[in-house]
Amino acid sequence: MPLPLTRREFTHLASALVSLGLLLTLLFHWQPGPIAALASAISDTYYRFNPHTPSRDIIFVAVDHQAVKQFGRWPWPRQRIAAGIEKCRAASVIALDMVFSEPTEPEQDKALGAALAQATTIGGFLLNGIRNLRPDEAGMNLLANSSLTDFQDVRLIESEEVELSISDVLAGQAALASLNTLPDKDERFRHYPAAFVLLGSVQPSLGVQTMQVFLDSQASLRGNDGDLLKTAKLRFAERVVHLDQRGFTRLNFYPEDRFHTLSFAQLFAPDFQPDQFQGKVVLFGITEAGIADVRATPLGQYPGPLMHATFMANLLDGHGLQELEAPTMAGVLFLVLSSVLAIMLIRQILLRALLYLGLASAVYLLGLLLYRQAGIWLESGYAITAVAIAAMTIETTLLSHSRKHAEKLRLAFSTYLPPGLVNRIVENPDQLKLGGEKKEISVLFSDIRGFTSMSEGVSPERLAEIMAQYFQPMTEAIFDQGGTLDKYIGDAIMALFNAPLDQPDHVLAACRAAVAMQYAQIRINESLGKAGATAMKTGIGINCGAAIVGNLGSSIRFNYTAIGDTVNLASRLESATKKLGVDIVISESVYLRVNSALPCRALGDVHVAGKEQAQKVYELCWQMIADPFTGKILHATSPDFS
Amino acid sequence: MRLQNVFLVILLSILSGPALAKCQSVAKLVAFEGQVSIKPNSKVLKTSPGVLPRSLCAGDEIHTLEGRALTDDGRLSVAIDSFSLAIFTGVSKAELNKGQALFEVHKRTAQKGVEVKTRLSVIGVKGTRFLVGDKDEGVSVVLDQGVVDITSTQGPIGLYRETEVSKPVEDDFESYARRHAEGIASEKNAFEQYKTEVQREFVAYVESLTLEAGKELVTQGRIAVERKISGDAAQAIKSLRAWQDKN
Repeated sequence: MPLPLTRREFTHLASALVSLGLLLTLLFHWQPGPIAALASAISDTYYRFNPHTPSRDIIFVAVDHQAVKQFGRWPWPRQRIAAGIEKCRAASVIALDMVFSEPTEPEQDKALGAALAQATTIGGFLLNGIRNLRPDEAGMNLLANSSLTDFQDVRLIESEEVELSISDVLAGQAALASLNTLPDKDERFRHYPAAFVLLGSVQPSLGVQTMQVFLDSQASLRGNDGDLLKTAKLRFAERVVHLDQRGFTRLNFYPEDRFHTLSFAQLFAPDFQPDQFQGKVVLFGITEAGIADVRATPLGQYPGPLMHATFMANLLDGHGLQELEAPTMAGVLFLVLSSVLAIMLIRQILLRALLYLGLASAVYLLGLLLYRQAGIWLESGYAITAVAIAAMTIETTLLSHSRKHAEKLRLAFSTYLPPGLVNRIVENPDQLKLGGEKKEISVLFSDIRGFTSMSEGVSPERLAEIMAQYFQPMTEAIFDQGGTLDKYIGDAIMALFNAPLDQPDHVLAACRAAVAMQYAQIRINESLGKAGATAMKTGIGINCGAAIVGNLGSSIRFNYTAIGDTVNLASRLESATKKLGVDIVISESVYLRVNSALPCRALGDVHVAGKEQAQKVYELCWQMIADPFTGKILHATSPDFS
Repeated sequence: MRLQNVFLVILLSILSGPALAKCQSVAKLVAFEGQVSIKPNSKVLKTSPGVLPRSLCAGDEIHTLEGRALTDDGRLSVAIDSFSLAIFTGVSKAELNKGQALFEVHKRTAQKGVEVKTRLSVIGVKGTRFLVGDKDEGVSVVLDQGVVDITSTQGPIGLYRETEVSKPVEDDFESYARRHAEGIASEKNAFEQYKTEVQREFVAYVESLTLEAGKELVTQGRIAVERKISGDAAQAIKSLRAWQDKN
């Protein structure tokens, strides 16, 4: 995990993701136009991978460009159509995706009716068509004969207006069926209606009515009775078509050229074999540009009659699709969101981004696999949207958390540490252990000698000025060596090295800081002298060793500090400077680490408070070390140096 | 002589062939009005009744939309109301799967063998005139004349009997309504609910029962309520009888 989120942040994030899951489930259920269009833009691509070929039992006879070229512009004399239909007499059933709602010459109309009567013909009607008429008694009776009777709990679209063929044509039709199909909210046709309610009766669509006759099986229509866990179904014995709440099924589109299609003109070709229609479904429809009902489908512009053919082919060979219901989709969405949440545990943002992409691709491929192998339609667009929004939410939360954490660190350490070190902590917060740890550190204590007597003769305002003048360069000297300002204790300074961030040369750095502080003292004294003030001297003690460091204190007040013997000894060494008459006293542990690099002088064994045994101490001969500020050495040698 | 008999049998077989191929008539459609269709047994598509009287074979279905149909087999006449589905399974044997129909046995002597099925019960006819309905609220048998035996096809059912609401009950209702005003949509609904609770009196768990004239039995699920003929049922009987008499 990049940075562990707080409980509150995690709760907010989890709530946001749950809300996202619920929102997407509701959107999936309601399918508002723009959202449905976006989702479909992704899932529509699945149709390109349809491996199936439509049943050869369905033959589409098209009034196409070739036929129009041969027989003239549509509409043709009805005897011409009758002649074509007679050629298909061997078919098991003839389905007409045409409505002959205008009378022509009576003998022409009667000829068509007579031709239709020679076969089992399913005629079409249009709900809310252009020439809606109240059907006459014969029309009403044929509608009654055509209606579905085995239905329950269905919520079909209802209509009171119908455009029927004229009675002479109706007379030849065994049954009627609806030719209507309706687009989805983005005006693309993807679904096929099982039936509509017309004037109180349930009227099947052309595909359903034709299949009833072809399969010699009565269709049974069952709604889900408002139960979201159940799907509405249309059954033909063992064959099942899954429907949505309106009684529509999602079509599994085939490329147009995979259908067994004949031009109407081919019916009159010299080599025409009428036997090829034996026991088949023959669908008559128009594809000629300008007169055809062309539909915008996921496979592009598609002839309207092939919508009926697609439904029939889906049913015959079991290529139909089952759309996931809202509760199942909710399960998919929450599974995806849980996976996105798991990705959050990955530390590297680049890897996380790759995993987000991988998850989105996996969702798409899962949808494709379900489509091809199981006929299940997963609207992967919703799940991919869930991945995208969840990833953005998580990354935004992590970024915000990281910023807040950085600000908190900056606030916490800017008073202790130089800005460079604060930046390092902010950039690599995992280097920081704030809870308290035992580690080796160097501790520097400094104190102004004779501060009490000096302060007695000075006004409080002047004293504050002098202290500010003193602490500024001293603190800078510590920061310049990467030290942490632990605290000011009156006129004393406590500084740590190698904490909170690791500092490989912390002992040397502490010594160099002490040297810099002594040179700073010289400059302070020069300034004080000009102002007529008394010069000051600073004693510094340095020790290194193990100590407990961290944010110590109570929940009311705490600060970053160090405790332990190492700290105590450093303080005692600073106290010893006055007695030993030197400016910087270092412990033996410091001496052993720096004597090869810095000039030191042994001061012998000294008893310090709190220690039973005498401690070996050394002077750090700072005068022999160059001023880090000016680069100048105060004394090349020290008289006491040994 | 024996050879002659063989020829005779062969001749009779040839002559009776077409007759055997055509089904045995179990009832006749004698009248209809409006949208009425017949779905011949084992056919998918329905047809119009055509010329009357039209013989019905066993398993033939009569579907009505905005229309009515009347059948008669000499013993039993069935007036099928609009939006109904009746199946004729044998001579004087019928099933009502949807809607409602008025059944009438012509003679008391002809009662034997008359059987009417619904999706929840089998009605053995002892009476002469009864209305059977299969609607959303349940399956009802309304006996206008005579007696019928009703047998549940779904095992024992709880039989309740409804009594009339008297004035004291109305008074009780007022206090009941006051107590239960909250959460009840309207007093009218509350009263209907209260009436139902108060009026229904559990009788017994039964598999079959005998219904007397002037009563109706409404079965829904595993509960059957016996009560006086409701106004709607009486109106339906009246309407169907009038049409039946006209035809």
